[in-house]
Amino acid sequence: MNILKFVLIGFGFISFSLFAGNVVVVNSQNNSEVTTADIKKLYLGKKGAFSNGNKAELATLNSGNGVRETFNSSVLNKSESQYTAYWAKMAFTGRGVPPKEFTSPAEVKAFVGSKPNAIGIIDDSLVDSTVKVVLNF
Amino acid sequence: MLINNFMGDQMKINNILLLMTCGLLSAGATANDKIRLSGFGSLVGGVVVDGDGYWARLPGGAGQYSDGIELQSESRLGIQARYSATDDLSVTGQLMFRGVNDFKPEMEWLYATYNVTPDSSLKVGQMRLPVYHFSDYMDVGVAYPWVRVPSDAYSLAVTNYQGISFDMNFDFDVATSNVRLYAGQQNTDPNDLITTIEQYKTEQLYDSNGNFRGVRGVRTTKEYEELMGIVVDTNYEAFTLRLSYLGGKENFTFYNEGGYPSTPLFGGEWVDTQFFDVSLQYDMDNVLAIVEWNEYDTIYESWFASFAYRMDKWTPYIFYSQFEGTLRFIAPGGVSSGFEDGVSGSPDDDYNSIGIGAKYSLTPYSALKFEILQFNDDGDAAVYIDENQDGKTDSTAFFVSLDFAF
Repeated sequence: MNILKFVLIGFGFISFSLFAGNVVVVNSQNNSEVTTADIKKLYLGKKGAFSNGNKAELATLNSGNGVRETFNSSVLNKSESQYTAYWAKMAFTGRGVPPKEFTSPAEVKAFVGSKPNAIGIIDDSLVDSTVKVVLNF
Repeated sequence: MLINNFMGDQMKINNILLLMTCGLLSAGATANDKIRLSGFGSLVGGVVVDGDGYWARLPGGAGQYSDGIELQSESRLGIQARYSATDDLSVTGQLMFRGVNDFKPEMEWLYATYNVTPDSSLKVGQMRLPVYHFSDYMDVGVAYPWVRVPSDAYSLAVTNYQGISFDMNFDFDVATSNVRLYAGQQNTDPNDLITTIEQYKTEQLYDSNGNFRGVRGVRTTKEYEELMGIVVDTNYEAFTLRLSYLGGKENFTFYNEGGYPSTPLFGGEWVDTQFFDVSLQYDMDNVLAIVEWNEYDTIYESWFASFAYRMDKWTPYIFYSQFEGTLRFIAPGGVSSGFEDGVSGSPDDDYNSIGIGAKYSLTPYSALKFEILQFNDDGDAAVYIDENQDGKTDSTAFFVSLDFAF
């Protein structure tokens, strides 16, 4: 029994450390359903709106930021070079405007918290009542 | 005079540098404002290892390599400005400085975009003709692995058009599609690509010792009207299937030296034209594979296939490309052997290329590329410089490029 408890706690700890860290957030007033597939489509410019029909305002971090790197590789499945090449292509062909880049997760949180249709990536320690978590990564 | 010219060029270069610097500074200063400046460029160098020369037959006649180390023919710089008048209305302009035009600036695109909904937009102005998979960004070297998009399969003589375009995004849950409907027209006078092709095909000049000394000064024009096209670009997981159709009418006219514009040698008739293109791409983790095929109704068929493998900073690749024209006028042995029956003769233009190379990412916004390309000419007509005048213009060339975006 004790061993099982120990194992469970240990497992809980491991999964906590796996999923702790980074989150995708939307404004707390945004009631749209946002799936991982939606996030991927929004961040690659394949769709422009949330399920409520409002145009999404995308926020990411500057190149070199760890949260951005993890998001691009684990959610978008793109390396930094692939991500930049992808958005260079979309922007130069007029098919989309790349996500706005911020220098710190705190700025992203402030942006998402103040704009009803914004979506952004931050680390979860910054989550407060102005934003709503839609994905852990 | 020479000094004046030199100083003139130097001033031009200074002006370009000044413009670039201003561009970079204001891009930084206004990134989140109403004006967004960005740009891209490629410095491409090539040397012919075997054969009389290699020409990639790019728009404007770019991509010619014959003597020494050529650094100008394909090198280019593009600066794009996007002005957002409102949240839904913007104007985009793209200025290109191409080596093939001696780096003289030309307005490549100028169009207004109106976002009808978050997933549909209307564009009006001068834009890229989106016939091929890579049409929209074939000038943006950092966005693909090769030194250039395999050019045997990208031979359409018109790259931009004036008109309208309507884009829609569709979300089918597991798959997404982008549908583009467009219409417009374009007048290319002269048509530099076709003029250069014709010059090397039938107008090469040789001195009394048989040495190539240039091409005769012909001029060709192409007008395109009532162009209407559709592109359906569907993405399902790692696969992207792109279907493209363009219909319209065109008028090709050929003028001998001194004949322009009053006395065309031939052409000058409007004919219906159709162009189809299909591409299938697989892009997942380390692997990028693509096959693209197209047909220019009654004129040619071409295709390419490529495989690239991403390994951290290096992306080695290989491609094969092929072009087969329908014209059958020139006799085997080249234009010096005369002409044959246009129906039963052997093809004038029939060639393929094998390229092996690698992209090395210096930073996410810049890359170095290396490529060795073998060009095999199986057609009767010369594609480029043909010293022994036999219609065979096989060659091997080596290229290095530095691509960047900002």
